[in-house]
Amino acid sequence: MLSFSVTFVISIVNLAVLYFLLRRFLWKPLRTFMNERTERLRRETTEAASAMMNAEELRQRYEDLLANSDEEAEWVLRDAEDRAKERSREIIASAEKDAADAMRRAAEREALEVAHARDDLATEIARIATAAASAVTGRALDGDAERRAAEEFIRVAANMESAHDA
Amino acid sequence: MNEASMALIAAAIAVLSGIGAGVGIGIATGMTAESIARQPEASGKIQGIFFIGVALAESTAIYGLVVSLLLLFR
Amino acid sequence: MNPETAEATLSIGEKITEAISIKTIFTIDAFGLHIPITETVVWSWIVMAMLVVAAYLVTRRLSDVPRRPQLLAEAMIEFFDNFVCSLMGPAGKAYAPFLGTIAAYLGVANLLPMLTPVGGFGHEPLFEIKPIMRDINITAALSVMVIVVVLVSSIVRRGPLGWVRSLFKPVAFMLPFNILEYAIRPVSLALRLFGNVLGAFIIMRLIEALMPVGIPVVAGLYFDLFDGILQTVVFVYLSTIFIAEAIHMEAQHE
Repeated sequence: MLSFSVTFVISIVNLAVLYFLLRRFLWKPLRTFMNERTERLRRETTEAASAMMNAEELRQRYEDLLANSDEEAEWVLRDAEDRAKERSREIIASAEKDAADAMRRAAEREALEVAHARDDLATEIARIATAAASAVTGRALDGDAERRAAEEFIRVAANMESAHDA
Repeated sequence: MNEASMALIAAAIAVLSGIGAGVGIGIATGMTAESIARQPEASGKIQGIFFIGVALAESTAIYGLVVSLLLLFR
Repeated sequence: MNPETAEATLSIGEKITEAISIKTIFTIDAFGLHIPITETVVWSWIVMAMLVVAAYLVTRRLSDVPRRPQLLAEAMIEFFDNFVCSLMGPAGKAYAPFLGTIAAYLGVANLLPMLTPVGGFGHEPLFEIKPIMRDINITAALSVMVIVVVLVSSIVRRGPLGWVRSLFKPVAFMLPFNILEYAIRPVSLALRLFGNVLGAFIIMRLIEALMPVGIPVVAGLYFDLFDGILQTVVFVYLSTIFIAEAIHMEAQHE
């Protein structure tokens, strides 16, 4: 049972052959393949990481730009608002002035018209008074002196009236 | 007693070496479990030592077995 | 003992003796030599052929997205490289193919007997695969190769002079023991494998002879499957540790 034979030598040769065959057909191709794959994967990963970093940088820049533009927009808005306020103030002021002018002019015109009316009234009253006086005296008062006297009287009356009013 | 019977008895005695191997492997396993429980992070090294120890302890039993087989199947 | 029992016992013993004997299949007559080719050698060739053909088929077409056989091969290679390197350091990469060859050969050889069809019920199984490692010549060849690798890598690693010096470490008194170590290690490796496989084989034969139905299947699970894998692992593990020791000692002592 424990006898050595030529099988021992054959087995050693067998194992050596098996070792070289397996190294040739199993270990070497698989190791080469796996190393290449690992290398490629690492390269691709690095590339992807750098691409990601680029993208991140771009995003950062874009965000900065956005934030800046926000600020700018705010500034523009505020400026516009200020200007609008000022403009509105100006408009209001000018409008007020216009209104005041218009009112003043209206008041002047009114006063003028009142004066005219008063003059007209005085003339009319003078004419009526003259007519009445001529009717009373029975003769025409067409002399200048009489008419002047009547007008004088009326004016005095009107003045008294207005003084009384005042 | 003829030679065959004596060989049988001798084979039985040779196989008694298994007792020592059993005790030795039992102690080694117990100690290994204890030390791994105490230091789980060193379990790799402990397992290595355990393997060698068990293999060495077991080889005595195997020698006994081989001797008894030699005696049985001369 | 009545005659019948004696007759039965004898027949079991004879059966086992017949089972563990190694037959010579044919003889090669070449160069004036008669080289007997035993059945264990033939089975070794079959195992080798299986391994080489499987390896060739797997590595013939390698793809980036591995299919199942390639995935298995890759996982095994990776596991083996990691295992050897964890015990030896980065230098282990060079030894991984050698130890992997031994592991693959031993693993297939130890598991092959499981393919034997179940016999019993008074008829013999169709064919029978007996464990290859019941031949001491083959286990001895394995362990001698391992110890030669240990010796050579130790000498290469520290130079002939350094190797001789290492025999005197830790003290000069240890010289005979250090030399003996180179003899004891292969003997114990070979005998361990041989004894375990042969012992399991004989016990299985005994169980089959005493109780042909049921029990052999359960026992076979332990002795054929578990013990086969375990012996493979132990052999490869010890070989790895021996080689690791041979190339590591330098770093420890200097």
